[in-house]
Amino acid sequence: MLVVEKMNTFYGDAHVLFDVSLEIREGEVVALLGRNGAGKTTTIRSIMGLTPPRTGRVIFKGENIATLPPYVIANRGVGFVPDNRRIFPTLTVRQNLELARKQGDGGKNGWTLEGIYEHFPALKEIEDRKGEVLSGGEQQMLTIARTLMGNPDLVLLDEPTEGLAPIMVMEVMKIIKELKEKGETILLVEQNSTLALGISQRAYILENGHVVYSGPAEDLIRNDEVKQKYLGI
Amino acid sequence: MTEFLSFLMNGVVLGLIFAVVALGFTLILGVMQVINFTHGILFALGAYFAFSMQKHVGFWLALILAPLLVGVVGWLLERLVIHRTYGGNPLFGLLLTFGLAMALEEVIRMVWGKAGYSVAAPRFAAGSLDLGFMIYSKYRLLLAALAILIILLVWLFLEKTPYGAIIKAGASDAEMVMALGKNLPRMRTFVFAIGSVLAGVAGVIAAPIWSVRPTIGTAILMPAFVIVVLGGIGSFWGSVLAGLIVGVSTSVSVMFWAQISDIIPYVIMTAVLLFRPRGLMGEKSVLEV
Repeated sequence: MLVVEKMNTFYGDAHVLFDVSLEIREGEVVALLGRNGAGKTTTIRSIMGLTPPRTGRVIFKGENIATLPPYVIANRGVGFVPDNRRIFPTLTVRQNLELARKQGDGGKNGWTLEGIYEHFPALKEIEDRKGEVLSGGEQQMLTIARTLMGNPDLVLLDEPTEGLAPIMVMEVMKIIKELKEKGETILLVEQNSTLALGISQRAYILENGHVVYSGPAEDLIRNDEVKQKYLGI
Repeated sequence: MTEFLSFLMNGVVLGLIFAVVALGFTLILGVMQVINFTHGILFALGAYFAFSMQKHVGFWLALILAPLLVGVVGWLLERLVIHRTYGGNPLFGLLLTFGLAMALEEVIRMVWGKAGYSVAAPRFAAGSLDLGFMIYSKYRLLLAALAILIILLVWLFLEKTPYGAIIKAGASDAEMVMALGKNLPRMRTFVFAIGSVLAGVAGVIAAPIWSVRPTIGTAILMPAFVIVVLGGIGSFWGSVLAGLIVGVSTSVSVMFWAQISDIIPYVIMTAVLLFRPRGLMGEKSVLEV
């Protein structure tokens, strides 16, 4: 589904990602782990075209999307769930969702507003509320649901549990697990490696902008040396 | 008393024109973060286009066509040059539009000359109407009704249509709108054109009560700027309210002390900003703790 080949990304003159390569197959949940500042969010922003890579290729469904503007990449089927949620504050929950609807083939699960409300009944109850008054947990649910409204073939999920109360963390993990069972393809960036590895098939570890480890999630769970060295656990 | 009422009404009419101009200005500022100094000249173009057209097509058709033509001018300006300044230093957009405004004012002088023109009110709205409590100009009443209609239409568009939702979303987080698959450059061009149409339509309806001359663009720009800051940047009703405050205070102060009417908007703006840096109805400002 997605193959990233030797991607190099800069912020101005600062070289942030060095020859990052990774691959996500259809239906897979892949974890992207690493310490703060390792380049996880930048990797997602580069794939999305928000911080385009200077060199390297991003092959999505067989085509290089590395040089396309973000809205074209989104319309090709890449969904982006940002780390700080970024709900539109002046729009209602329903407007936030409807805005993200896209024309097109409808994607794998054919999400509609009704489907979203069925899956996230809590959002239905607050559909007329403005984004600015939602709690952190509600915002997190909405930001995931909003991206699903665009029926992406691949979901880039950036730190979905960041800053949430423990009970909401479990709720969000449950949602991701359900999406996995529905066959969504997900690249999951997480600070909480234990949680992420629990639901992923494979994992990559970034350190200072380099991919330093890749392998099945089960192997990494048992590899205390690597976890200790790169993740600090 | 009657005299006061007529100054008050004139102030409301002026305020409604200001509000229409300011809404276009704040829309462009909110979505593109560009302080658009061409906004005044787009207002002037609306007045001139209407002046040239009305003789041939009449009042109503000119009311539709002239603003659309101004929208095309705005669209061209945005597509050719202004879009290049987005996301850069805000000073670039400000300087560029400032230069464009001066150049366009010269173009107006070349095409229509330096002298002012007076535009007659349409015949059906000439004369006055007895309102019971006062006698008032029919055209100014028509103008007020049109301005209110335009303000309501813009509000309905922003609040009740999907495209309005995208524009509001773009004003708070343009990058996220793009990441959700919306063609941001196209949306920005559209917003600039809509803002231009608003400036143009205000120019058309204001033409019969002002004399149309090359400097009216500059004359309307400063109040518009004051209104947007006073009302709170990005606030729809803030702009309308501030427009009315500036219009009424300018007009009524003429009655008591004509010399201060030009500076009264600035005095009010200063006083409000001292206590409320975000403006009357703006979002919490970065200047506040």
